[in-house]
Amino acid sequence: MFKWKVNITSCLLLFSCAVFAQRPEFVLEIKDHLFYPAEIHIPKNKKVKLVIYNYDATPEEFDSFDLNREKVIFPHRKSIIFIGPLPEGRYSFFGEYHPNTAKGVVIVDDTTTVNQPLEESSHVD
Amino acid sequence: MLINTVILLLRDGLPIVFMLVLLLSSMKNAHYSYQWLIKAVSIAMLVTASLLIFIDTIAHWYDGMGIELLFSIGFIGVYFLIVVHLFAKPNTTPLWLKPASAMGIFVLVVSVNTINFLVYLTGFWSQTELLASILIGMLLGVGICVSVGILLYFILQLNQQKVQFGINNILLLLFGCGQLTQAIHLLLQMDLLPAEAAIWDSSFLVDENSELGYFFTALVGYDARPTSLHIFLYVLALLLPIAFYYWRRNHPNITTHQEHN
Repeated sequence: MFKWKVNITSCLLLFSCAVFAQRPEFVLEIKDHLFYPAEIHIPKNKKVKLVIYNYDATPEEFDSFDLNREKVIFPHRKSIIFIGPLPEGRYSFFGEYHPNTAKGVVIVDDTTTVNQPLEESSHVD
Repeated sequence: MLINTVILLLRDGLPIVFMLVLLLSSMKNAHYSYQWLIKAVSIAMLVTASLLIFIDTIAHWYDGMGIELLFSIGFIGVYFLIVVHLFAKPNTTPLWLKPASAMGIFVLVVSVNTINFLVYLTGFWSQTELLASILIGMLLGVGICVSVGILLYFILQLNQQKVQFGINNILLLLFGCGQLTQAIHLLLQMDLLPAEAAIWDSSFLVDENSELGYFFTALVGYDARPTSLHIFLYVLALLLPIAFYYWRRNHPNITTHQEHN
């Protein structure tokens, strides 16, 4: 019984550490089927929060085989994706619905600069 | 837009085709009629239509991660229903359990996998200049998916019934494990599971962005860059039902006795 309690507590701790940990925040915007900025610098070996705003009238899917992430972002909406921790390198991403124009790259290096979240426009919920 | 539509349809359509082929084969081996499929198609259409209506609202839940939360629950549900389906036998479990689990798997896989494509479709439907290429892309994508499905179905039927039964069950379990890895991806993306670096990168062998990559990802949950958590949960999800199967086979009296009680 005690062992079970210890195991459940460990699982809850692991879960809560992942949920409540503060993550550095980076902002990405989609406008006219392009990503702004097209290059994002994030610190290495750290999990970061990527806040994506879609200012277009059509949906877009953030997709990256390098980052192992995909997510649909609805028109005039905001979405969140967590990425990392990653070793130094370049990790490309693209808009699945407009792969020829919506392209970008996450550059993982020693930088500690964190983009400030933009003021949410009236067009984005 | 044409190539894009084909790629999206392959990504979202192949899991549905594989699930359908494996379930049809499994239910045929267990001598069930196609009644379950008719009910499953009707329920799946209703669930998908309701999801499409409310998807924008759902996307807003949980700080913009509502879809991931809902889909991860769906993917985990598919795995558990597949395990139930594999262990449901007419002589030891209620007769309705096998068709009911098949219906559950069908409804979950169809609704979760079609919704992204429907969002894409409805998002661009109003742009008439793109309509022709989207329609041609859909035709090509559906054609490829159906061809792959028919080929897999007849390959499964080629073997002797006992071998076919074994291969079908293993493929169904691997498919379930693949669905479970999709849930892990989503939970990692939501920061609900601790993230780790990938253990290896096998994209030089099979790239996830290639035709073969789509095939293996849909069928067995192939991941070119898995983390240790992925591998641990995948192996656990695969071995536990197999271990239970062999344990039950070696202790038929215990399970039958308990079930009769």
